[in-house]
Amino acid sequence: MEALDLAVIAEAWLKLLEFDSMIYLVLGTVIGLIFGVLPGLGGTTALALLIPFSMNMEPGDAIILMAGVMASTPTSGAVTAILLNTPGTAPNAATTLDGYPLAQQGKGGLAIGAAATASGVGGLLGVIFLIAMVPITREIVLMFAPPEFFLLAVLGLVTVSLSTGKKFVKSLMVGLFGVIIASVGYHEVTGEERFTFGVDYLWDGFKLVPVMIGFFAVSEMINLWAKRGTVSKSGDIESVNLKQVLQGCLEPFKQWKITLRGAAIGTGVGALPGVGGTVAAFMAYTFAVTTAKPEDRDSFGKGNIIGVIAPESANNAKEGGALVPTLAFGIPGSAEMAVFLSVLILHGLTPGPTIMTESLDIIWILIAATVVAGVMASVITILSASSIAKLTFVDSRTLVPIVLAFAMIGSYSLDNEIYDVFTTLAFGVIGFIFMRFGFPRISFPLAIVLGPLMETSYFQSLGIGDGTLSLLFDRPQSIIILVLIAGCILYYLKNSVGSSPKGRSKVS
Amino acid sequence: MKIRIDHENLALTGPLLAFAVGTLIIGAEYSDISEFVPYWASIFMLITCLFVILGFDNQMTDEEAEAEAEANASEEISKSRIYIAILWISAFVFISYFIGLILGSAVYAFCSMYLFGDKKLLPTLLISVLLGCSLFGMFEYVLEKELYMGIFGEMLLEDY
Repeated sequence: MEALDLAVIAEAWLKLLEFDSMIYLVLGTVIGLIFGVLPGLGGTTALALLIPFSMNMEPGDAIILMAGVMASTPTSGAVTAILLNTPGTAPNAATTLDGYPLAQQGKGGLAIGAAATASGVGGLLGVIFLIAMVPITREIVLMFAPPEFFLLAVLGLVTVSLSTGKKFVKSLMVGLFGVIIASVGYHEVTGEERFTFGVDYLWDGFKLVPVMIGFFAVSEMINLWAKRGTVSKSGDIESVNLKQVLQGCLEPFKQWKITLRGAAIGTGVGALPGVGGTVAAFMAYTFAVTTAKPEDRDSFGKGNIIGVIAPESANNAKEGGALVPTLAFGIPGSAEMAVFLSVLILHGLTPGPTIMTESLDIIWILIAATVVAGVMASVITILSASSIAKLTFVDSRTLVPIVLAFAMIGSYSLDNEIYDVFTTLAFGVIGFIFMRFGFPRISFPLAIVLGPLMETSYFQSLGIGDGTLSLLFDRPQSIIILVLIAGCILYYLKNSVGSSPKGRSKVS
Repeated sequence: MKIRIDHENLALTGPLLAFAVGTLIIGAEYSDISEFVPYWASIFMLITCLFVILGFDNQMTDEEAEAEAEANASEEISKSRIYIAILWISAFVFISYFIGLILGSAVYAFCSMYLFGDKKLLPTLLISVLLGCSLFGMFEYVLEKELYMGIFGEMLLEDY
């Protein structure tokens, strides 16, 4: 299959235009908008909760549903960032810097229009980057063999941990915990039982879906329940003027250089494992401030529309960038991508060379769905910003039991196994404990997904290398990855351990 | 570098250290191919645990320490609230285990809103019943999944 086969591309668009597909796309977009607006929930939770429902669908439909969620969550998060100074998702935090002051000046509609349009345009540019990268990454990925995939999995964990800054070691610890958890169950080559302690339920290991749902959705519900009150702590919502919103829609085009630059930063940063949307959004914002005319710089933080356009464009563009390592190498760059990767795996789609050669139709469906969902999310946000923001006033006592019911029943329904519900609860508590202690949780889902890949690649490497791991050090591709791993560790050691701390308040 | 025990995270790093030691000991007994990944993961986890416990990774500047303390203070939730939250979320599983997932969800939603949320009886009842019905409709009819009836439900079905 050619990477840019027009017949495949046309087929993907025709598939998207089918009635069922459009329903899934709208559903995914609406769910994404709702979860994006509720601080603490976000795309990862939404994706985890939807996995059980997607299992009854065709792979193409499941991908459309998930694409709808992924493309829309960053868009709606900007609404509460602007109107309530409460970012729906972490990357929307940069939008509050100028978005909220604009709302206080009675220009909330202008900011929302600009944010929604910048999100749509940014998302579109991110997808164009993904399209451009499909043929290139396809060639690169075909040069990789099992030893490289083993090392890539290690590199994925290391880079994701590195992105947490000074919490590198803690993140690595959480990741290694995930690798061990992923190794529970019988070994698919030797048939040996590992860490099952004679429990039949553990014979197949911990199932991906209950673990993911527990770790993200249930842990957030425990947190929300403990916090009490409404999701948003802010006061009233300013009513949004539609005329102003439409004026705002034109702003990203008037400031097209800012929009393009933000999107470029977003896609570039998104493609790096672990760096994520928050860094992309703040980088784009900082870049916009530093490159502004000296006389305009003072207006940032006081309600400059550019301060809304730059981060929002970057935030949505990162999705396209983040999909590149996820699809091409099976190395997810974020928790959301790790959950998405598990959706692909559960539907029998193996990321890496297989998906890049045999399932290109799925990639094109994903691209088409992301484009349409991004535009749809922007339009819905523009038309119903005030109503969307009101969702954050839902009481946690109402929200928690509803989300919990869907999470637990979703976990159960996959295999009709009540013990899956207990697993979900257990990993919910584990996820919550990591959260309370301030340990980065991002590496855990990555490890759960990458653990089996490590095992398989290790065994295949042994097979190719006649029982030795010499191939890890023989091939130039492997050596490059090894150097990158060593570089990441050295970078951390140089910047954190070697420097003398001025204050160590947390350590007695 | 000075060694200073990180007492603040010990409640988590301690059990994780024990976990790493445990999996290392158990994992070492497996065959070469089976043990490789968990064995090395345990070793590295052990090292990272010790690294954190001995305070080597906590190299924050005054400003960073202050910023983190400020962020933690704004998120401060008392321990009793945390324990109650974990217990109440766990209660969902145990309620559902006995009376089934659909009925359990409705009962749990009702208790959450009425007992903890101080909501009015009628809207609470309505939301709970609606939740139960929508879950039943979605899973039993749309997704065609037979949901768990609970220990009591299964017993009743057997008797019937």
